[in-house]
Amino acid sequence: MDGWPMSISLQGIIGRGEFERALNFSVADGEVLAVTGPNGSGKSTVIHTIAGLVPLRSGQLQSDNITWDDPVAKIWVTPEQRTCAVVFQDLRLFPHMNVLSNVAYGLRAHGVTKDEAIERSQKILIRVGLASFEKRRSNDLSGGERQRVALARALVLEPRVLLLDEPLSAVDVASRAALRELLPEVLGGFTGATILVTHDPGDVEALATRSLGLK
Amino acid sequence: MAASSMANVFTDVQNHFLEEHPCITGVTYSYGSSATLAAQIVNGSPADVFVSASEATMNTVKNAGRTLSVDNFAKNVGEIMVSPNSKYDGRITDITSLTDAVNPGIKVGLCVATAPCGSLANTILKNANSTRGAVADTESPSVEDLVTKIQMGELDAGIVYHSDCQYAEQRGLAKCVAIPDAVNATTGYYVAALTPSPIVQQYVNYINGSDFKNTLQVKFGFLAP
Amino acid sequence: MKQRISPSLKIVAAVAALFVALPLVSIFVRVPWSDLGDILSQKSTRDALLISLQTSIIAALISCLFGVPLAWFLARSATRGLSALRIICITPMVLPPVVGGIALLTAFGRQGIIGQYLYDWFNISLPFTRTAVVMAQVFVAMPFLVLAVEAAFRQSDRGLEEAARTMGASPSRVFFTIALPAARPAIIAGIALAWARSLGEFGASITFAGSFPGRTQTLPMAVYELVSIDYRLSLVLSLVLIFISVCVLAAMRDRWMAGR
Repeated sequence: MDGWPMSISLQGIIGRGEFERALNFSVADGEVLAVTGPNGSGKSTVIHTIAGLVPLRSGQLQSDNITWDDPVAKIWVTPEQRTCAVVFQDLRLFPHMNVLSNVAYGLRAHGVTKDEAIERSQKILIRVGLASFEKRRSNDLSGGERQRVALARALVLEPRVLLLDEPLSAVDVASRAALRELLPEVLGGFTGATILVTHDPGDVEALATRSLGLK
Repeated sequence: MAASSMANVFTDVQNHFLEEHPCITGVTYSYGSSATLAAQIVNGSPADVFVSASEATMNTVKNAGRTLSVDNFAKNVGEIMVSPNSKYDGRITDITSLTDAVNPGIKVGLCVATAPCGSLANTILKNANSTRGAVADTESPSVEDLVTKIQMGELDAGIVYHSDCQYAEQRGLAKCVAIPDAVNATTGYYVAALTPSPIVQQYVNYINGSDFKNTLQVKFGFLAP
Repeated sequence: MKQRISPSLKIVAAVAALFVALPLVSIFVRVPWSDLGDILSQKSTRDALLISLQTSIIAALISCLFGVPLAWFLARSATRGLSALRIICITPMVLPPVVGGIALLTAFGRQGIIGQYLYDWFNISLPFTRTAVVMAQVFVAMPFLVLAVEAAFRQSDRGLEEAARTMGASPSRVFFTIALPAARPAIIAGIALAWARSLGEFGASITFAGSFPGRTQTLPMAVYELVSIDYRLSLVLSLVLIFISVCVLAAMRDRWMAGR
């Protein structure tokens, strides 16, 4: 694996509050790494550390040979500069914006023009099956629909690294099946690296190419 | 309750008065604008004596039936008080020099028209063919307030009583510019007993006595009634 | 389910409510209604009302412009001495207004710590100007806005802000697109409170800005001056002030109650 630029490579100690653990893994383009483990094993912390919301305690976090986080060398790339996108476990859709604005938010933050942002957002909404949902408010949507908005919001940014934190946990059983069908389709078309946090072996089975178990 | 222009006087004579009247254990003073004090007395304030700086404000209390006796014991004239740090020092010579027209940017204060020093100022302004609006930047509810602001340097000048100005000038806190007699005006000081106790009567007699009047005129710059 | 309230509690509550309501209603009763139009059209009334409205609205806007960033800083920053800074920023709320006025004079008066340089170098004399009125109002009113808005920022969902950051938004974009909209009810409530407080400001304003009809005399100052000379006029002006205050509170209703 040496010499191949990894989309994401973490080698060090992650931590949040009292919690700490050592980790060493990397994910290449096209791979889907499932991170599994019981509650409290640090699965979410992995996502938050890669996204830049939580710093490494020690070690290095790199993407494509660019260091994002190195406490000893005092290197830190801010979250907004990192080429990753997150679908949070609690989704975190912006309540004061409609679906289209939610999806377009990241594009606009990156300087994309309003027209182009709208166009790209509309396309991704069609891909996740929410074609007519543009003007709706996130509060009016079902769990499954909100999950798809969160997914669209991340995918539209065409990130190098896609981080999914328990993507099916906030969804009711009925919608879960539909999403389980949608995800591989969407992830299949995604060219970057994906890290999928889940406690459901069914998800690992259906979606992952590799898995990493945290105990 | 006493007009604030009497504050310095009463503080000064307090000890002397108590020495001379051993049965009186203490006198409590409440100072302010005569107009405000008069209103408070009419509304029921439990004062024993009222000392006002104008006939009008004393009449307010008299007409409300609160006075048992009224005496005129002194007079005061107006004077221009100038702040010692003022940039306009030397250029303030008369009433017209207080206007922005003659001295642009000068900050001048007057008492509110309802206070005795304010109606005094109004008369002076009229005599000098000037107006409040041309002269004043702020109005003070009492002459005490006005004097403080001038001494602090926040105002360049103001029309106050000669007694206040003399007091300040003696202590190097301000400079005084006299107002010519033709333009100047006077106001009368009145003392009224409000409650019928013999102690109150002693106090009023003291105010009316030649000893006190002498102190007023010689030491503090008041005029004879 | 409607809760049963004990009779003795009802009596105590009634007394409390009456104590506050009675003086306000009394003004309503004693106001010379037949002369209302006459009095309201007098120049001194119109002047005081205009000055009050102009200065208080400007003061509310300034309080918002500077108070919201301050509230954000207090809510989000992690520097040492933050709690001390917060106390200082809120102090004007509990300070007697006259003391506030004296403090302003000490800082910005012609002999003031800053004011002396303004005067000596630029010939700027702040006391007794309409600017001073606004300054006094901002001094006493801004803390109300800062308090309300900081509470909202503290309670706001940081998760949303984090999500925005991961999507590429810089901290300032997050502030304007996520945090501010979320705090909008509190900001509106803060502006309304700051405005109401500015409208009623007296002690600091009369000390620092003085009072002159048509220039710096606000409605509360006019009421104060009129109490001893024209009681009826002071009743009318008091009624105007009460009316405006009640309208502001009524417009805020539940937002004020909910605190957010």
